[in-house]
Amino acid sequence: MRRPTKKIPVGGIVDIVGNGAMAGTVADGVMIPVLILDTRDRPDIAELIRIHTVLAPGDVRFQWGLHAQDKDLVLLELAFDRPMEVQLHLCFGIEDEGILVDAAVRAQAVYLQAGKPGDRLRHNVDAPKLLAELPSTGFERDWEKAFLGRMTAVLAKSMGLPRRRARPQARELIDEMREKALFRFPQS
Amino acid sequence: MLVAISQEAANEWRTFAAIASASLAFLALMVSLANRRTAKKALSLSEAQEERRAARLDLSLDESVAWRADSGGGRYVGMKVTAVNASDRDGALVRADLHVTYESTAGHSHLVKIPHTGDASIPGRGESLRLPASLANNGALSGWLVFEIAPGLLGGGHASRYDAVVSDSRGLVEVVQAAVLHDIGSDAGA
Repeated sequence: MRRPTKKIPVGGIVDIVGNGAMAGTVADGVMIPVLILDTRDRPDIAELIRIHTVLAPGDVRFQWGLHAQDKDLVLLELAFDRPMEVQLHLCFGIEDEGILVDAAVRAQAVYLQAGKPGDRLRHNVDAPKLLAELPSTGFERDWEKAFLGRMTAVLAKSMGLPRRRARPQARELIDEMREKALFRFPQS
Repeated sequence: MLVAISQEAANEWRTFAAIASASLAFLALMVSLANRRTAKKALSLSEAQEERRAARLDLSLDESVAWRADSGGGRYVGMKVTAVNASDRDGALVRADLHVTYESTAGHSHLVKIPHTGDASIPGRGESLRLPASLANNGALSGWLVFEIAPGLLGGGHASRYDAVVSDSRGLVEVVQAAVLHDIGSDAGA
C-alpha cells in the first residue's frame, strides 16, 4: 500500500538546539525526552510554552512521518489548537537523534522548552516546559523498522561490514541505548 | 382540369397544416410558460422551507463587564449574550471561548483562547450560563459567559481585543466582540 505523503516547507521546521530527558509522575515514571527548540524566530512557540504554565493543558494534534527520500530523517508535526493556535514541525536525524524519537515514541510524550543555540537542560532545569502527549498511532511499527534499518546501514558503513552482519550489532546497539535512555524511575 | 383542382387542394392543405402547426407551437409555448411559473413557485417555496430548516445561529452582545476576584485570583471578563436559533432545527450551545488578542512585552502579537467558566457569579448580575445549553428551534437563550484571565496569563502584555466565540451542536461558530468592558469592581462589591 502506498503511504500518504505530505510536503513540509523547510522554513517551517523548528531547530532542536538541545535535548535531555526528565522523569516524573506522567507516563508511569518513564523518561520523557526534553527538546529545547530554537524559538528566536518563533515567539508564538515560546509564548505557548509559557502560557501552559498558567492555563490547563490544551488540545494537540500530531503526526509522525518518515522522510520520503532521506532514510535518515523523521518528522514530527505538532498542531496546537488551544490555548493558542500554533503549528510546528520538528526534524530528527536517526543516526544522531534516533534515541530521542525512540524515547518519545515509547513514552508517548515529549517535553518542549523554548530556547536558543547553546541552551542546555542543566542551565535552567526549571524553565517552563510543555508536555505534549503523543498516544500510539501505529507509527511504532514503522519506526522500529526505520530505526533498525538506518542503524544497520550506519554500522555497515562505519565498520565495513555487510548489512547481514551489521544488523544483529545494530539490534544490540539499539537495545543498549534503550536500556540507558529509557530506564524507569520507581514510583513512590 | 383535374390537375388544376388537385393542385388547389394541395395548396389549401399546406396552408391548413402550417396554421395547425403554428397553433400547436403557440399552445406548447403557453403550457411551458405556465409550467415555468409553477416550477418557480415550487422552487421558491422549497428554498424558503430549506432556509428555515438550515442551521442558523445569531449571536448578539447585550453587556460586557470586567472585575477582579477578591480571593487573589485573576481578572474576570463577563459577556452577556443572546443566542437566537432562527431555524426549524433544535440546537445547543456547546462551547464558548474568549479569544484575547494581546501584545507581549517583546512586542509580538498573540491570541490566547480562554474557556468559559460555567460556575461563576457575576457581581450584582447573577450566575454564568452552564454549557451545554439547549436551544430549541425558533427559540432564544440569554446568559452570561464568564472567562477567567489568570494572573500572569498575558505575561505583562497589553490586551487589545476580546472576542467571545460560541460553538453550537450543529457545527456553527459565532463571534461577538466586546469593544468596551465596564469595570464592576470586585467580588466584594456584589
